[in-house]
Amino acid sequence: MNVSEPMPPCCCFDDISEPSTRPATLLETQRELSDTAQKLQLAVDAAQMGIFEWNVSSGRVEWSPYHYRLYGYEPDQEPVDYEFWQKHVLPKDLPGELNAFETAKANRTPWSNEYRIRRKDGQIRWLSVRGQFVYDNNGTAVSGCGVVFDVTERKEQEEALRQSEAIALSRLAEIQTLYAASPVGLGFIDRSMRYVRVNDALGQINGVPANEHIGRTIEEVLGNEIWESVKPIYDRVFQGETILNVEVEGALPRDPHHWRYWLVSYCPVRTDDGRPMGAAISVQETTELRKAQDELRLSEARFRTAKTAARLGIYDSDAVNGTTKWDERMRELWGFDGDVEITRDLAMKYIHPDDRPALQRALDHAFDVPITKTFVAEYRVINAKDRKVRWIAASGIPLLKDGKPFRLVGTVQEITERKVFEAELERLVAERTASLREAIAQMEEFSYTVSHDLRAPLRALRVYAGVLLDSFAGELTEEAQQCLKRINVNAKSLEKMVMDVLTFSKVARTDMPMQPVATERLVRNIVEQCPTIKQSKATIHVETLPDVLGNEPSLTQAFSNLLSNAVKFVATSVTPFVRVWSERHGEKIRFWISDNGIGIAPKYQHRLFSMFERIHPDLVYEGTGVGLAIVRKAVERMGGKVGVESDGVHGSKFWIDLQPPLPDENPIK
Amino acid sequence: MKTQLSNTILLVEDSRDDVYAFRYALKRSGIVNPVQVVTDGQKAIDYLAGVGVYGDRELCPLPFVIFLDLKLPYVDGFDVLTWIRTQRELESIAVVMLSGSAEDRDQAEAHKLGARNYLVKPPTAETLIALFDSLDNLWHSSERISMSTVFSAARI
Repeated sequence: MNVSEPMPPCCCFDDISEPSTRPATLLETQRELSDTAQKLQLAVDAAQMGIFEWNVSSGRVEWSPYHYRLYGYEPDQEPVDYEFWQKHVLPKDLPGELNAFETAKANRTPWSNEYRIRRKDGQIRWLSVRGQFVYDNNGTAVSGCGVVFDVTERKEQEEALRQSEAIALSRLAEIQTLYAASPVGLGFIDRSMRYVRVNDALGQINGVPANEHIGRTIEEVLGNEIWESVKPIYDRVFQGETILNVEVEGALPRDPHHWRYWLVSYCPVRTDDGRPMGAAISVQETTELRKAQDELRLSEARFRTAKTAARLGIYDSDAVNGTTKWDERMRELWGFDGDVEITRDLAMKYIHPDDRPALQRALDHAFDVPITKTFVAEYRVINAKDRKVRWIAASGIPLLKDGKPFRLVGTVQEITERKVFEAELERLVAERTASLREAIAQMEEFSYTVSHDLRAPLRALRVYAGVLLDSFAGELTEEAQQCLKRINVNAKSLEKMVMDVLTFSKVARTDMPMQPVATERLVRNIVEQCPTIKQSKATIHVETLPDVLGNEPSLTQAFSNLLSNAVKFVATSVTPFVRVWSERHGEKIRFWISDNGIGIAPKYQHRLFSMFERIHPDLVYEGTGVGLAIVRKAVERMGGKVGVESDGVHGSKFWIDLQPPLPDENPIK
Repeated sequence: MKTQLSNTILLVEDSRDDVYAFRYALKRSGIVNPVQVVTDGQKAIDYLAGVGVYGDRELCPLPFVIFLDLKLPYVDGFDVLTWIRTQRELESIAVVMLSGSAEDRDQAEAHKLGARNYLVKPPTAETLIALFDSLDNLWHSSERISMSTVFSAARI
């Protein structure tokens, strides 16, 4: 066949199915054949098919011109055989093609397949092949022939489609996962108000398992009341409206006593023609949030009430940029209008100069962590408008960010009245204290004066009694003399009492300068020199005693009284044994004076150190009842304490707590 | 020129009981020097100055020793003492303070102001004897009479 001239594209169909009426001449037949072949060629070319015929035994392949072109060759450019063809098939697709026609050859069926080729110019193209084998009388395949199409575009489209399908599928999977796992309730309602799709979250919110929603109406699931309240919304949504953030409230049928709140958004879902066919809903239960909000509102209201009642001012200072926000009360206190910009310097300007240093210090240290938890300060503000002085109590909470000062937030309260009251109170207290002190001083003065003045008449008593006894004994009866003796004894006793009271009041009144005192030496001196002690023939052990801070005369008085008591209050015919030692007692030094005397029953111990208290009868043990009161007064004035331990049988242990000397001071030598 | 002093003892004391006690002690000590008593500080000064009723030195001779109570009306003992020590004519008179209490403070003050001695009331006979022994004045020794004679005289 020779088609050298380009033929105009035409397509003609000639029905060649009918046989002709008479046998044609050879020339006519040849001409018919040639025509037919041409037409066929044209048709095939128009269809963009490449034809091949493959001689199985020889391997030679005949291609139509278009076939060559499919492979990127000019027609008849190269001889084509089986090898030539195979070279162009992509290795990946070759096995498939071979398999296809081998199978067809074996089964005497046509084959169709798709494979890729590499064209002469290197392009990869997809070919679709349809072929058929021709068999000889023995059933052996003689040749295979068929057509191939370039289906590259289709293949590419298929691939694109496949890819977009894959994407779509994966997107769908994503969405389905999101849908299922979403903490937000999601659902889809159709036009008959039934649930079509419900995720687990919505199931939980509604209190019904998700799958039990499907097919049921909203009214069935949520109850009549809630349905009535949302029905108008659905009506609008199915008109095409998107409605977001609707607050719905009600009680679910399963839990009628629990009022709940939800936030719901509705979105119409349309079909292709634009009509809404359903509503997609997203639901969140906000019951807890509402409760919290309500509580917050309530607490805010309470706070506001309290704040207003207390007339608190609120401030919020930014420690980073130095700005500060004040509420109306703060401005009112300082006398600033609402438009005045508040800075720390401005505020300071109106604070009383005397109070500024302390306030500045407090502010400087406000952020010292962990020393300060709350910032507090009191200061006076001189109002910019009315120039009145007001006392302010401020407190604040320092807030840090990354360890650096960030904000100071707090309140102020006017305390002018309180301050005035406090000042008045202080004044009153000072007055009362002063008059109390004066009263005490007067009393002590009185006791001093009285005892001092009592001595003169006492003296006279004793003189006259003494004169009578000395000079006029001879003229007096035995009884008269006895009476005089008794007068003398009583006068002596009274004198001693008076002396003791005098001593006590001296101890109470006189200045008591304190110095380090060598206690051990002092005690030993008393032991050596006190007549009462010496007369008692007592054994006194004085251990090493540390120095104390005290007043030597008063200390002497105290120890003397205790030691003479120790030797005095013993059972008859018992030799007194006294021991003096010391120990550390907290911040003080404790001195112990123990004796083997008659002891003091616990029930009397509380009276022991009072004035004029006598525990033991006067007949047996001489005493005025003032001695221990003197000890207590003296010790207390030196900043110490005195006490006793005794079971009332096995002697007594008196103790005195005194202050240790301050360091670096030398004791009296 | 040394002032002429008598053998009189001047007692400046406002309490009659203390006067009695003093006289009793004096008696028991066997000292029989005449005793003049004035009852307050102003009178003491007047006496020693020879003023007013005390002008007659026959009746009110200058004493050789003054027993001066601390607590006195009008002018107290220390002030009298201070005054005495400003008077040249009285410089040879011994002044002994008498007091109800033995305050160290008072004793020190007394000595500072020029008192010879300081006695606590009531003085005992022994104390007085010791005191008078210490005074370097001949008057008392020549006038001293034994105790027994005093007592026997008193009983009459």
